[in-house]
Amino acid sequence: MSMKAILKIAKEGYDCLLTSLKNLSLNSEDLLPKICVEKDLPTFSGVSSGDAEFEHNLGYPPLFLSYRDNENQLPSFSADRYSFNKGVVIFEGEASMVTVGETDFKCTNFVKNSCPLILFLDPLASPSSSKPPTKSSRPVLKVGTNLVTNADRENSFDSRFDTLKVYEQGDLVLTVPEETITYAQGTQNYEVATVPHNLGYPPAYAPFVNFIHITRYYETEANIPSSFVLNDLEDAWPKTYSYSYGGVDLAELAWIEVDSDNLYLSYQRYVANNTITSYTFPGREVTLKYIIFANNLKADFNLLE
Amino acid sequence: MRKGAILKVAKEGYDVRTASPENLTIDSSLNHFKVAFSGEETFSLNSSNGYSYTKTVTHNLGYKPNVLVYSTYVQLNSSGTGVERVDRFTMLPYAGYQGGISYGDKIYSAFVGYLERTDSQLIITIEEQDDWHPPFPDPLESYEVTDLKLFYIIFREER
Repeated sequence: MSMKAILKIAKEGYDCLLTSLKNLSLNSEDLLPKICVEKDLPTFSGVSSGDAEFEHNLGYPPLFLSYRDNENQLPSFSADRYSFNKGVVIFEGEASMVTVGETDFKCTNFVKNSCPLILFLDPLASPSSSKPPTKSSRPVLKVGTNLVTNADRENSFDSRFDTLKVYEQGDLVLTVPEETITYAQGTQNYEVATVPHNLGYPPAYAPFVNFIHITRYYETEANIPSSFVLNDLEDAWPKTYSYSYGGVDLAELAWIEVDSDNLYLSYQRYVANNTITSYTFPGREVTLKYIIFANNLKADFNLLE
Repeated sequence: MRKGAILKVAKEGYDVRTASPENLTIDSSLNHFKVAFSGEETFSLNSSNGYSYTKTVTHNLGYKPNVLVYSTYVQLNSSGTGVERVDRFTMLPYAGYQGGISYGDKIYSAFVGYLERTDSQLIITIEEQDDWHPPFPDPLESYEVTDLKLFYIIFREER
């Protein structure tokens, strides 16, 4: 029989002794990823692209989430709005290398002003050495198998570290009307749906994606269904990536951004081939399953200092 | 008003009684992302596996969970004569090309990583998408990249 202490707290309306695991807001039997850094990394300002770096010196590659401001990015071109930074992406209109190693995090991107980073203590690869647990001058709530000898990263719960906390979760449905768009109109055609969160700061969000090229995913315009869930495309967009690299005649894309007040889902359609004078895009119903975290992308939190 | 106890811990320098949600490390009135399953794998890309690696993780949660997947990756070497392993982790999905990239070009091939989520499984694929464009010679007819790393987290939380 395990002698390990267990901390469980149920979501409101559930009994933690009786409910299923998915209805627990906290459960120390599941690892709680430990955020050690929340920092808006500066980049080279005043140029169209710049790199952002952060030296963590943990000795192993840690779990991370990366965002960026959109001053130099579609759809808003606003420094007040933020999108997710995908990993290695090199194709039309986007070149991004977001990586982490044993000593640092790097983002080589079109990022102009800032690159919010959420860095976890939790490793992506088994560390070759173990550090003794760190001490704190204030009370700390920890759960682990051996709090005396284990490294901080080995504990399932440590209240000094920040956590991904779900502030709001739901379905955002955007009804995109049938509309005729000409080649001459260019690319600035958007339908927008918003979720107000009113946190007063730009929060981290999921899905962990900035935009989805819907036409590339479905390979041709004709294959795009009248109703679909964007998150299913989020996972598999590179599956057909190279097969449509040469370009598409008609384009439909979805973009996700946040600012201090809202989460935005923008839907863009345009005619990409100048031999097509105009095209009538059909109406669609697009669902985004979103999560808005309580975590502030502009926070300055660093337990590695 | 919520009944029952709430566990809150503030970041250092903040008062737990007045801190806003961003300044609480723990707030049990909100759901926290918790890891249901995680794992680490080592794999290769070579002619024997068709330059394609698939990892299927069975979770049986009964719903599509939130996930995070990272891997080290492969890129064209600086001389363009072959490929090399990059010992840094990036997040999936990802896609990196090799070859011509002007508008209208077809690329020779791309290294891609993508996912499929079901109510019972997470399926991770990392592969070279070889193509197709005869006018361009493909420098990657035969190669092997070993000791690539993959790490995945399946959260308890439903997507």
